[in-house]
Amino acid sequence: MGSYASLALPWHPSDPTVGSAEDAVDEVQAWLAEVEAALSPYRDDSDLCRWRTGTRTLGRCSPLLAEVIDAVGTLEELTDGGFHPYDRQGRFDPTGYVKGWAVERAVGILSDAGATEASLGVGGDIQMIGRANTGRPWRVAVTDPSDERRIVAVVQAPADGQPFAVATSGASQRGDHIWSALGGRPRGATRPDSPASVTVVGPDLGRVDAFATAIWALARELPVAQAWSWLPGDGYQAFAVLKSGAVATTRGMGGHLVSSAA
Amino acid sequence: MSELMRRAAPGLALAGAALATVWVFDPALHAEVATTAAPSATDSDTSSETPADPGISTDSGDTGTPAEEPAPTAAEPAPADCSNADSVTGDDAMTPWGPVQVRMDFAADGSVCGVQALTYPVGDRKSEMINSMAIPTLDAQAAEQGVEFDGVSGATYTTEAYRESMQSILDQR
Repeated sequence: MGSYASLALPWHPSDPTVGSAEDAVDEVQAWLAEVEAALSPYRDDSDLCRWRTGTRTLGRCSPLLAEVIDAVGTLEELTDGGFHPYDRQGRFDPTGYVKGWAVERAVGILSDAGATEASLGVGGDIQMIGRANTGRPWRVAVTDPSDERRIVAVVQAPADGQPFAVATSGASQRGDHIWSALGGRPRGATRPDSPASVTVVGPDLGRVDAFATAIWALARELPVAQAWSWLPGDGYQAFAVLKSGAVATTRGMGGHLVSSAA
Repeated sequence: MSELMRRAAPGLALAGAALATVWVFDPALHAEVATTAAPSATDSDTSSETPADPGISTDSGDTGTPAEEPAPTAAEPAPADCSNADSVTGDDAMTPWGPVQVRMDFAADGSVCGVQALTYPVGDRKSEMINSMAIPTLDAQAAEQGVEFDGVSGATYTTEAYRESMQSILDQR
Protein backbone atom coordinates (compact mmCIF):
# COMPACT_ATOMS: atom_id res chain seq x y z
CA MET A 1 0.00 0.00 0.00
CA GLY A 2 1.16 3.46 -0.75
CA SER A 3 1.12 6.24 1.71
CA TYR A 4 -0.85 9.38 1.54
CA ALA A 5 0.33 12.79 2.52
CA SER A 6 -1.96 15.42 3.87
CA LEU A 7 -0.86 19.03 4.03
CA ALA A 8 -2.65 21.94 5.63
CA LEU A 9 -0.83 25.20 4.98
CA PRO A 10 -2.56 28.37 6.12
CA TRP A 11 -0.56 30.87 4.11
CA HIS A 12 -0.19 34.35 5.46
CA PRO A 13 3.52 35.07 5.76
CA SER A 14 4.41 38.17 7.70
CA ASP A 15 7.09 39.06 5.20
CA PRO A 16 5.52 40.12 1.89
CA THR A 17 8.70 39.35 -0.01
CA VAL A 18 8.53 35.63 0.59
CA GLY A 19 7.48 33.35 -2.21
CA SER A 20 4.10 31.85 -2.85
CA ALA A 21 2.57 28.83 -1.21
CA GLU A 22 2.71 27.01 -4.54
CA ASP A 23 6.47 27.56 -4.71
CA ALA A 24 6.83 26.19 -1.21
CA VAL A 25 4.81 23.11 -2.09
CA ASP A 26 6.96 22.62 -5.20
CA GLU A 27 10.03 22.72 -2.99
CA VAL A 28 8.54 20.07 -0.75
CA GLN A 29 7.76 17.85 -3.72
CA ALA A 30 11.33 18.25 -4.93
CA TRP A 31 12.61 17.33 -1.48
CA LEU A 32 10.49 14.19 -1.35
CA ALA A 33 11.73 13.20 -4.80
CA GLU A 34 15.31 13.72 -3.62
CA VAL A 35 14.70 11.54 -0.57
CA GLU A 36 13.22 8.80 -2.68
CA ALA A 37 16.11 8.86 -5.14
CA ALA A 38 18.60 8.64 -2.30
CA LEU A 39 16.92 6.43 0.26
CA SER A 40 14.16 4.29 -1.22
CA PRO A 41 14.66 0.62 -0.36
CA TYR A 42 12.41 -0.28 -3.29
CA ARG A 43 14.37 1.36 -6.05
CA ASP A 44 17.39 -0.59 -7.19
CA ASP A 45 19.00 2.62 -8.38
CA SER A 46 18.68 4.47 -5.07
CA ASP A 47 21.86 5.35 -3.25
CA LEU A 48 20.74 3.18 -0.36
CA CYS A 49 20.34 0.08 -2.55
CA ARG A 50 23.58 0.68 -4.45
CA TRP A 51 25.50 1.26 -1.26
CA ARG A 52 24.03 -1.87 0.31
CA THR A 53 25.02 -4.02 -2.64
CA GLY A 54 28.47 -2.49 -2.71
CA THR A 55 28.10 -0.96 -6.14
CA ARG A 56 28.46 2.59 -4.86
CA THR A 57 30.70 3.91 -2.09
CA LEU A 58 29.24 6.08 0.61
CA GLY A 59 31.38 8.98 -0.58
CA ARG A 60 29.70 8.87 -3.98
CA CYS A 61 26.20 8.64 -2.51
CA SER A 62 23.89 11.49 -1.65
CA PRO A 63 25.01 13.06 1.64
CA LEU A 64 21.50 12.29 2.87
CA LEU A 65 22.49 8.64 3.19
CA ALA A 66 25.41 9.38 5.52
CA GLU A 67 23.19 11.71 7.53
CA VAL A 68 20.56 9.02 7.96
CA ILE A 69 23.10 6.32 8.82
CA ASP A 70 24.39 8.57 11.55
CA ALA A 71 20.92 9.41 12.87
CA VAL A 72 19.66 5.83 13.07
CA GLY A 73 22.84 4.73 14.80
CA THR A 74 22.14 7.26 17.50
CA LEU A 75 18.52 6.14 17.68
CA GLU A 76 19.49 2.51 18.11
CA GLU A 77 21.49 3.44 21.19
CA LEU A 78 18.98 5.92 22.51
CA THR A 79 16.11 3.43 22.34
CA ASP A 80 17.93 0.54 23.99
CA GLY A 81 17.93 -1.30 20.69
CA GLY A 82 14.19 -0.94 20.23
CA PHE A 83 14.76 0.90 16.99
CA HIS A 84 16.37 -1.62 14.70
CA PRO A 85 17.15 -0.31 11.24
CA TYR A 86 17.45 -3.62 9.42
CA ASP A 87 15.04 -5.57 7.30
CA ARG A 88 14.25 -9.26 7.60
CA GLN A 89 17.18 -10.14 5.40
CA GLY A 90 19.43 -8.30 7.80
CA ARG A 91 20.08 -5.50 5.34
CA PHE A 92 20.40 -1.96 6.61
CA ASP A 93 16.97 -0.36 6.20
CA PRO A 94 16.46 3.05 7.78
CA THR A 95 12.96 3.46 6.33
CA GLY A 96 11.37 3.51 9.78
CA TYR A 97 13.22 6.75 10.43
CA VAL A 98 13.30 8.19 6.94
CA LYS A 99 9.58 8.61 6.59
CA GLY A 100 9.11 10.76 9.67
CA TRP A 101 12.37 12.59 9.12
CA ALA A 102 11.46 13.43 5.53
CA VAL A 103 8.12 14.84 6.64
CA GLU A 104 9.76 16.78 9.45
CA ARG A 105 12.28 18.27 7.03
CA ALA A 106 9.53 19.03 4.54
CA VAL A 107 7.81 21.14 7.17
CA GLY A 108 11.15 22.81 7.80
CA ILE A 109 11.25 23.71 4.12
CA LEU A 110 7.78 25.23 4.37
CA SER A 111 8.90 27.18 7.41
CA ASP A 112 12.00 28.46 5.62
CA ALA A 113 9.79 29.50 2.72
CA GLY A 114 7.76 31.70 5.03
CA ALA A 115 5.04 29.44 6.39
CA THR A 116 4.29 30.09 10.02
CA GLU A 117 1.64 27.39 10.23
CA ALA A 118 1.68 23.97 8.65
CA SER A 119 0.62 20.42 9.27
CA LEU A 120 2.00 17.62 7.12
CA GLY A 121 1.10 14.00 7.73
CA VAL A 122 1.86 10.73 6.05
CA GLY A 123 -0.08 7.65 7.05
CA GLY A 124 -1.25 9.19 10.30
CA ASP A 125 2.18 10.39 11.41
CA ILE A 126 2.03 14.15 11.50
CA GLN A 127 4.42 17.11 11.87
CA MET A 128 2.92 20.47 12.78
CA ILE A 129 4.18 24.01 13.31
CA GLY A 130 2.26 27.06 14.43
CA ARG A 131 -1.46 26.83 14.86
CA ALA A 132 -4.45 25.63 12.90
CA ASN A 133 -6.23 28.04 10.63
CA THR A 134 -8.75 28.82 13.32
CA GLY A 135 -5.99 30.08 15.61
CA ARG A 136 -6.23 27.26 18.09
CA PRO A 137 -3.41 24.75 18.49
CA TRP A 138 -3.29 21.86 16.03
CA ARG A 139 -5.17 18.82 17.24
CA VAL A 140 -4.89 15.20 16.24
CA ALA A 141 -7.39 12.47 17.09
CA VAL A 142 -5.92 9.08 17.95
CA THR A 143 -8.10 6.10 17.06
CA ASP A 144 -8.73 3.07 19.23
CA PRO A 145 -6.75 0.16 17.75
CA SER A 146 -9.42 -2.37 18.74
CA ASP A 147 -12.42 -0.39 17.61
CA GLU A 148 -11.86 1.99 14.79
CA ARG A 149 -15.16 3.69 15.45
CA ARG A 150 -13.75 5.24 18.52
CA ILE A 151 -11.32 7.98 19.26
CA VAL A 152 -9.20 7.26 22.28
CA ALA A 153 -7.80 10.72 22.75
CA VAL A 154 -7.26 14.03 21.07
CA VAL A 155 -3.74 15.37 21.45
CA GLN A 156 -2.96 19.03 21.11
CA ALA A 157 0.13 20.93 20.00
CA PRO A 158 1.67 23.48 22.37
CA ALA A 159 -0.26 26.74 22.61
CA ASP A 160 2.86 28.69 21.64
CA GLY A 161 2.91 27.06 18.22
CA GLN A 162 6.26 25.31 18.69
CA PRO A 163 6.89 22.29 16.45
CA PHE A 164 4.86 19.27 17.44
CA ALA A 165 4.66 15.77 16.02
CA VAL A 166 2.48 12.73 16.60
CA ALA A 167 3.10 9.15 15.51
CA THR A 168 1.35 5.89 16.32
CA SER A 169 2.69 2.37 15.97
CA GLY A 170 0.80 -0.84 16.42
CA ALA A 171 -0.40 -4.10 15.00
CA SER A 172 -0.75 -3.87 11.29
CA GLN A 173 -3.03 -5.88 9.04
CA ARG A 174 -0.15 -6.10 6.64
CA GLY A 175 1.80 -8.22 9.05
CA ASP A 176 4.27 -7.22 11.68
CA HIS A 177 6.33 -4.80 9.69
CA ILE A 178 7.81 -3.71 12.96
CA TRP A 179 10.00 -6.32 14.49
CA SER A 180 12.35 -6.29 17.32
CA ALA A 181 16.05 -6.70 17.54
CA LEU A 182 15.29 -9.15 20.30
CA GLY A 183 14.03 -11.57 17.68
CA GLY A 184 12.02 -14.69 18.12
CA ARG A 185 8.38 -15.06 18.81
CA PRO A 186 7.21 -12.36 21.18
CA ARG A 187 6.31 -13.88 24.51
CA GLY A 188 4.22 -11.07 25.79
CA ALA A 189 2.29 -10.12 22.70
CA THR A 190 -1.00 -11.52 23.94
CA ARG A 191 -0.77 -10.38 27.55
CA PRO A 192 -3.57 -8.01 28.43
CA ASP A 193 -1.05 -5.41 29.54
CA SER A 194 0.79 -5.46 26.23
CA PRO A 195 0.00 -2.54 23.97
CA ALA A 196 -2.33 -2.62 21.01
CA SER A 197 -0.92 0.71 19.91
CA VAL A 198 1.70 3.19 21.04
CA THR A 199 1.46 6.92 20.37
CA VAL A 200 4.39 9.27 20.87
CA VAL A 201 4.38 13.07 20.79
CA GLY A 202 7.34 15.42 20.66
CA PRO A 203 8.84 18.23 18.64
CA ASP A 204 10.29 16.33 15.67
CA LEU A 205 8.59 13.60 13.68
CA GLY A 206 11.77 11.73 12.74
CA ARG A 207 12.45 10.86 16.34
CA VAL A 208 8.81 10.70 17.42
CA ASP A 209 8.04 8.09 14.76
CA ALA A 210 11.17 6.09 15.51
CA PHE A 211 10.40 6.22 19.25
CA ALA A 212 6.87 4.90 18.67
CA THR A 213 8.30 2.10 16.58
CA ALA A 214 10.90 1.30 19.23
CA ILE A 215 8.44 1.28 22.12
CA TRP A 216 6.09 -0.95 20.18
CA ALA A 217 8.89 -3.38 19.42
CA LEU A 218 10.23 -3.45 22.97
CA ALA A 219 6.77 -3.82 24.52
CA ARG A 220 6.42 -7.21 22.90
CA GLU A 221 8.92 -8.42 25.46
CA LEU A 222 8.68 -5.87 28.24
CA PRO A 223 5.98 -4.13 30.26
CA VAL A 224 5.22 -0.89 28.51
CA ALA A 225 6.57 1.26 31.33
CA GLN A 226 9.94 -0.42 30.81
CA ALA A 227 9.62 -0.29 27.05
CA TRP A 228 9.53 3.50 27.18
CA SER A 229 11.78 4.05 30.17
CA TRP A 230 14.55 5.50 27.96
CA LEU A 231 12.23 8.12 26.45
CA PRO A 232 13.96 11.51 26.76
CA GLY A 233 11.97 13.61 29.18
CA ASP A 234 12.52 16.86 27.31
CA GLY A 235 9.36 17.12 25.34
CA TYR A 236 8.75 13.50 24.39
CA GLN A 237 5.72 11.80 25.88
CA ALA A 238 3.84 8.62 25.08
CA PHE A 239 0.70 6.69 25.72
CA ALA A 240 -0.28 3.13 24.94
CA VAL A 241 -3.70 1.61 24.41
CA LEU A 242 -3.31 -1.80 26.00
CA LYS A 243 -4.95 -4.99 24.78
CA SER A 244 -7.06 -4.92 27.93
CA GLY A 245 -8.49 -1.59 26.81
CA ALA A 246 -6.72 0.38 29.51
CA VAL A 247 -4.58 3.33 28.59
CA ALA A 248 -1.10 3.77 30.02
CA THR A 249 0.64 7.11 29.78
CA THR A 250 3.97 8.61 30.58
CA ARG A 251 3.95 11.09 33.40
CA GLY A 252 3.85 14.22 31.31
CA MET A 253 1.44 13.03 28.62
CA GLY A 254 -1.64 14.54 30.22
CA GLY A 255 -0.57 18.04 29.31
CA HIS A 256 -0.98 17.18 25.63
CA LEU A 257 -4.40 15.57 25.88
CA VAL A 258 -7.48 17.56 24.99
CA SER A 259 -9.86 14.82 25.96
CA SER A 260 -9.91 11.13 26.47
CA ALA A 261 -13.11 9.56 25.30
CA ALA A 262 -13.94 7.76 28.47
CA MET B 1 4.86 3.44 5.48
CA SER B 2 7.98 2.97 3.58
CA GLU B 3 6.38 3.62 0.26
CA LEU B 4 6.40 7.26 1.12
CA MET B 5 7.67 8.48 -2.16
CA ARG B 6 5.88 6.25 -4.61
CA ARG B 7 4.19 7.95 -7.48
CA ALA B 8 2.77 11.22 -6.28
CA ALA B 9 -0.40 12.52 -7.83
CA PRO B 10 -0.85 15.98 -6.42
CA GLY B 11 -4.25 17.53 -6.20
CA LEU B 12 -4.19 21.14 -5.23
CA ALA B 13 -6.98 23.16 -3.74
CA LEU B 14 -6.51 26.84 -3.04
CA ALA B 15 -9.06 28.66 -0.95
CA GLY B 16 -8.37 32.16 0.21
CA ALA B 17 -5.35 32.23 2.44
CA ALA B 18 -5.51 28.53 3.08
CA LEU B 19 -3.89 25.92 0.94
CA ALA B 20 -4.69 22.28 1.22
CA THR B 21 -2.81 19.75 -0.80
CA VAL B 22 -3.48 16.09 -1.01
CA TRP B 23 -1.11 13.64 -2.50
CA VAL B 24 -2.20 10.12 -3.05
CA PHE B 25 0.80 7.90 -3.38
CA ASP B 26 -0.56 5.42 -5.76
CA PRO B 27 0.77 1.92 -5.35
CA ALA B 28 0.85 -0.92 -7.81
CA LEU B 29 -1.73 -2.68 -5.64
CA HIS B 30 -4.25 -0.34 -7.06
CA ALA B 31 -5.01 -2.42 -10.10
CA GLU B 32 -5.62 -5.77 -8.53
CA VAL B 33 -8.12 -5.07 -5.82
CA ALA B 34 -11.82 -5.69 -6.06
CA THR B 35 -13.97 -2.69 -5.44
CA THR B 36 -17.40 -3.03 -3.99
CA ALA B 37 -19.52 -0.24 -2.76
CA ALA B 38 -21.12 -0.63 0.59
CA PRO B 39 -24.78 0.12 0.97
CA SER B 40 -24.77 3.84 0.75
CA ALA B 41 -25.55 5.88 3.75
CA THR B 42 -28.70 7.83 4.25
CA ASP B 43 -28.35 11.52 4.71
CA SER B 44 -30.03 11.80 8.05
CA ASP B 45 -28.03 9.05 9.66
CA THR B 46 -25.48 10.50 12.00
CA SER B 47 -23.62 9.26 14.97
CA SER B 48 -26.16 10.72 17.34
CA GLU B 49 -27.74 7.31 17.21
CA THR B 50 -24.61 5.59 18.34
CA PRO B 51 -24.96 4.56 21.95
CA ALA B 52 -22.49 6.08 24.30
CA ASP B 53 -19.70 3.64 24.78
CA PRO B 54 -18.45 2.85 28.26
CA GLY B 55 -15.12 3.77 26.85
CA ILE B 56 -11.60 3.11 27.69
CA SER B 57 -10.53 3.22 31.24
CA THR B 58 -7.76 5.54 32.07
CA ASP B 59 -6.28 3.16 34.55
CA SER B 60 -2.59 3.34 34.00
CA GLY B 61 -1.50 0.70 36.43
CA ASP B 62 2.06 1.27 37.45
CA THR B 63 2.99 3.05 34.29
CA GLY B 64 2.48 6.64 35.20
CA THR B 65 -0.15 9.27 35.54
CA PRO B 66 -3.58 8.38 34.24
CA ALA B 67 -4.71 10.13 31.12
CA GLU B 68 -7.38 12.02 32.93
CA GLU B 69 -6.36 15.53 32.23
CA PRO B 70 -9.50 17.60 32.30
CA ALA B 71 -10.23 18.87 28.85
CA PRO B 72 -10.32 22.63 29.04
CA THR B 73 -12.17 23.14 25.81
CA ALA B 74 -14.53 20.23 26.20
CA ALA B 75 -15.56 20.69 29.80
CA GLU B 76 -18.92 22.30 29.13
CA PRO B 77 -19.49 21.56 25.49
CA ALA B 78 -22.49 22.88 23.76
CA PRO B 79 -24.01 19.88 22.03
CA ALA B 80 -23.39 20.08 18.33
CA ASP B 81 -26.50 20.73 16.31
CA CYS B 82 -26.51 17.81 13.94
CA SER B 83 -30.06 18.22 12.69
CA ASN B 84 -28.83 20.03 9.62
CA ALA B 85 -25.44 18.44 9.23
CA ASP B 86 -23.36 19.16 6.20
CA SER B 87 -21.99 16.00 4.54
CA VAL B 88 -18.62 15.75 2.88
CA THR B 89 -17.38 12.67 1.07
CA GLY B 90 -13.72 11.81 1.29
CA ASP B 91 -11.33 10.41 -1.26
CA ASP B 92 -10.91 6.70 -1.81
CA ALA B 93 -8.03 5.36 0.22
CA MET B 94 -6.59 2.07 -0.91
CA THR B 95 -6.01 -1.10 1.01
CA PRO B 96 -4.81 -4.31 -0.60
CA TRP B 97 -8.42 -5.52 -0.41
CA GLY B 98 -10.06 -2.50 -1.90
CA PRO B 99 -10.74 1.15 -1.33
CA VAL B 100 -12.15 2.71 1.77
CA GLN B 101 -14.17 5.86 1.40
CA VAL B 102 -15.82 7.70 4.22
CA ARG B 103 -18.32 10.46 4.58
CA MET B 104 -18.28 12.93 7.46
CA ASP B 105 -21.14 15.03 8.70
CA PHE B 106 -20.43 18.41 10.20
CA ALA B 107 -22.59 20.76 12.22
CA ALA B 108 -22.64 24.41 11.21
CA ASP B 109 -20.02 25.21 13.87
CA GLY B 110 -17.60 22.69 12.38
CA SER B 111 -18.08 19.99 14.99
CA VAL B 112 -18.04 16.45 13.74
CA CYS B 113 -21.49 14.87 13.87
CA GLY B 114 -20.58 11.53 12.41
CA VAL B 115 -18.47 9.47 10.09
CA GLN B 116 -19.59 6.63 7.90
CA ALA B 117 -17.80 4.31 5.58
CA LEU B 118 -19.43 4.46 2.17
CA THR B 119 -17.06 2.01 0.55
CA TYR B 120 -15.02 -0.73 2.11
CA PRO B 121 -13.35 -3.90 0.95
CA VAL B 122 -15.29 -7.12 0.68
CA GLY B 123 -14.67 -10.39 -1.06
CA ASP B 124 -12.25 -12.48 0.90
CA ARG B 125 -12.34 -13.90 4.35
CA LYS B 126 -9.95 -11.41 5.79
CA SER B 127 -11.83 -8.46 4.40
CA GLU B 128 -15.13 -9.71 5.75
CA MET B 129 -13.57 -9.98 9.13
CA ILE B 130 -12.41 -6.43 8.79
CA ASN B 131 -15.82 -5.27 7.69
CA SER B 132 -17.62 -6.81 10.56
CA MET B 133 -15.45 -5.13 13.09
CA ALA B 134 -14.20 -2.04 11.47
CA ILE B 135 -16.71 -0.13 9.47
CA PRO B 136 -16.49 3.06 11.28
CA THR B 137 -18.92 5.41 12.79
CA LEU B 138 -17.12 8.00 14.77
CA ASP B 139 -17.59 7.66 18.45
CA ALA B 140 -20.65 9.61 19.45
CA GLN B 141 -18.87 11.04 22.41
CA ALA B 142 -16.22 12.70 20.35
CA ALA B 143 -18.96 14.32 18.32
CA GLU B 144 -20.98 15.27 21.36
CA GLN B 145 -17.99 16.84 23.01
CA GLY B 146 -17.71 19.04 19.99
CA VAL B 147 -13.97 18.51 19.91
CA GLU B 148 -12.60 19.65 16.61
CA PHE B 149 -9.44 18.14 15.25
CA ASP B 150 -7.27 18.54 12.19
CA GLY B 151 -5.74 15.14 11.74
CA VAL B 152 -6.04 11.50 12.71
CA SER B 153 -3.38 9.12 13.97
CA GLY B 154 -3.81 5.41 14.60
CA ALA B 155 -2.27 2.03 14.27
CA THR B 156 -3.99 -0.44 12.04
CA TYR B 157 -4.07 -0.93 8.35
CA THR B 158 -7.75 -0.56 7.63
CA THR B 159 -7.80 2.36 9.97
CA GLU B 160 -5.04 3.85 7.92
CA ALA B 161 -7.19 3.82 4.80
CA TYR B 162 -10.13 5.04 6.79
CA ARG B 163 -8.02 7.81 8.25
CA GLU B 164 -6.77 8.77 4.83
CA SER B 165 -10.26 9.18 3.50
CA MET B 166 -11.25 11.08 6.62
CA GLN B 167 -8.17 13.25 6.41
CA SER B 168 -9.04 14.15 2.85
CA ILE B 169 -12.29 15.59 4.20
CA LEU B 170 -10.62 17.46 7.02
CA ASP B 171 -8.24 18.93 4.47
CA GLN B 172 -11.15 20.37 2.54
CA ARG B 173 -12.42 22.27 5.53
